[in-house]
Amino acid sequence: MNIPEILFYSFTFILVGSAFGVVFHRNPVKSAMFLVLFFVGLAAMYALIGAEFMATLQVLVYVGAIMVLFLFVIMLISVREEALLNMGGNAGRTVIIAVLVLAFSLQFWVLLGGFMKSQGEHVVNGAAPYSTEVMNYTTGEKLLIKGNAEVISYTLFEKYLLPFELISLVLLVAVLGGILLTKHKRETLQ
Amino acid sequence: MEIEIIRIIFLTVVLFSIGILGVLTRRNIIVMIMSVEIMLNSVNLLFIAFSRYFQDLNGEVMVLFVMAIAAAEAAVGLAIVIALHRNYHSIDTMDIKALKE
Repeated sequence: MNIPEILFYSFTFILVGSAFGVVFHRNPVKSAMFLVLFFVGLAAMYALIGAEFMATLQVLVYVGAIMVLFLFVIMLISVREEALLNMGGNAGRTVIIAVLVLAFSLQFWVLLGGFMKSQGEHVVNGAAPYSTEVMNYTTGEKLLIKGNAEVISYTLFEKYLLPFELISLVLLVAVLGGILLTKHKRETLQ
Repeated sequence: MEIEIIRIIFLTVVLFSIGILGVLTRRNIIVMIMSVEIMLNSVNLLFIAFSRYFQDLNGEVMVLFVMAIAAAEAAVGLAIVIALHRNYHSIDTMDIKALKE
């Protein structure tokens, strides 16, 4: 067993354990702490399979921004510990969950069987960098760029420029919606 | 630095299933939104794994967009949670039944 495999299994253990912690802990604050651990573990997994830029963004966006939002809302709302739902108490729901899990795993098994029968071994190489050819518009010459952040920025701002701008519009609408939903009703509105 | 992709696929399926389990079984709306975040992140991991596997960057750019949409979803969802708490003084899904009665 080599070192990447050991790292992979330890990150897998952290991810699955913290996901179960989020779902099954009775206190929402502790659930949020487990979610922080989940995001950090996921960032480590991204770095392991060679997406360092995405690992950085994961920590910045999720741990830095979204978790702060969650913890602020938990702070504003008086949360109390809840009893976990009794799984055996509701027979219909248990049957639905069991059937869904069975159908999902069956479909997954069939799909993976087809994938594994195809040729070769399927590995993710964490060390191979991306590379792409870039046109310099002022001089007209072509040059090859390598590295994660460089190639991502090139792809984002050349090929996906319109979706990038539209995403900013989506975020603006989300901000306006958040303000509108949480605003108190004011009688002195002119 | 080589990891078989089949293991990453199994890991993402397990994480996605845990997220579905959280959405289906919990009654606290904040924890339900957290479970949705777990599901989104497991899909992100699958995107990045296949992006690395095919040496094709489009998957990672898609992950950027998923992150932005997830941030918007969290903002709006938590605003709805605050509005619900203001009107019902509870964030338990069993207490929110204004349309049922």
